[in-house]
Amino acid sequence: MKHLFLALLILALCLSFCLWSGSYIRRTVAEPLSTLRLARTHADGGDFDRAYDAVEKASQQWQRREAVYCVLMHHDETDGVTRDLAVLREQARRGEADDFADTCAQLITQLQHLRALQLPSAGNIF
Amino acid sequence: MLISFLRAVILYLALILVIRMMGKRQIGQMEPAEFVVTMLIADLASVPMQDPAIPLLSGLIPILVVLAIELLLSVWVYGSIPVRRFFCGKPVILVQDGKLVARNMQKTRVNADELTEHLRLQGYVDITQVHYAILETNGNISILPYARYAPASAKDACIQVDETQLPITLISHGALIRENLAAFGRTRAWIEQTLQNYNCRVRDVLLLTADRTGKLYLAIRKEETP
Repeated sequence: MKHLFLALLILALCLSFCLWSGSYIRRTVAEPLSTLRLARTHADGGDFDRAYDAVEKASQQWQRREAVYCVLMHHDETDGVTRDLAVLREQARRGEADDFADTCAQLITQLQHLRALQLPSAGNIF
Repeated sequence: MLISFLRAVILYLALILVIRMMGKRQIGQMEPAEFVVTMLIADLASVPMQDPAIPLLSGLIPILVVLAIELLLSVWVYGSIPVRRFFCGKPVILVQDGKLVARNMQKTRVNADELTEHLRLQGYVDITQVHYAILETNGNISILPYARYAPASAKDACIQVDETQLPITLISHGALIRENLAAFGRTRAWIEQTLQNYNCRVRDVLLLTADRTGKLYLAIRKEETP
């Protein structure tokens, strides 16, 4: 019986942690994602000052939780987002419309992908 | 590099803990499922150990899940004979009454060369001396010879022998094992008085065992005393 309870306890703890981890990533990554969408809207309208501020805010939102993300996600993915945010910030500062649009689209896709990876879909499992 | 070092230490300790929780069976003779689990856990641990970009939890969580499933399975196998048959199989008789059972050898894909090798390794070169040879579920072959070819016991020779006693370790590597001392019904004072006869102290002793007949074995750290 001892082994039975121990096994069930371990499974319950692992499952709870995995569910929490997926929920946490989906919830918190949504913040910089929506901020980047706002930055894209400002950039499309030609307002790169506001776009820069939005990107700066998205960077802070990401960096605030980066340590936790590194524990829960592959470091290549988290490093990629950090790097692209830095590039995007520079492009916003310089007002490079085309490059900003490309990088922003790429970053938004990355963040959407990170959120989608937390779902137990057939594509993710298999 | 330091990160790799720390990860290796953490994963190694986690592996030891997991293997320990699986029980002594994992360390000894393994059933097929247990062998698979052991290989799987080793592989799962090696991946984050080699690549610092992979989170440690990506290795630890699957290891813990495999451990939990293995424990659940072992409880299920323990309680159910049909489940045990499914996961562990059944022992198969390969030699019966001194003759090879060809049908079972074919079923288990054990050829005659392998079988005779196993017999020789256990001291039987003549198959006609073997009453039963059984392929166990863990892959070992057990041999039951005919009684007339089995090594004679004291009973067979009508020799009166004293029962062997299980020696209890009282001191190991200079440390007194109190629970064994209590189980043996002795005190530290008795130990020290006994060791005085050999001109040594507890911390000088590599090993001290005693059995119920009072027979002692003492090995001193610097030199052995029979």
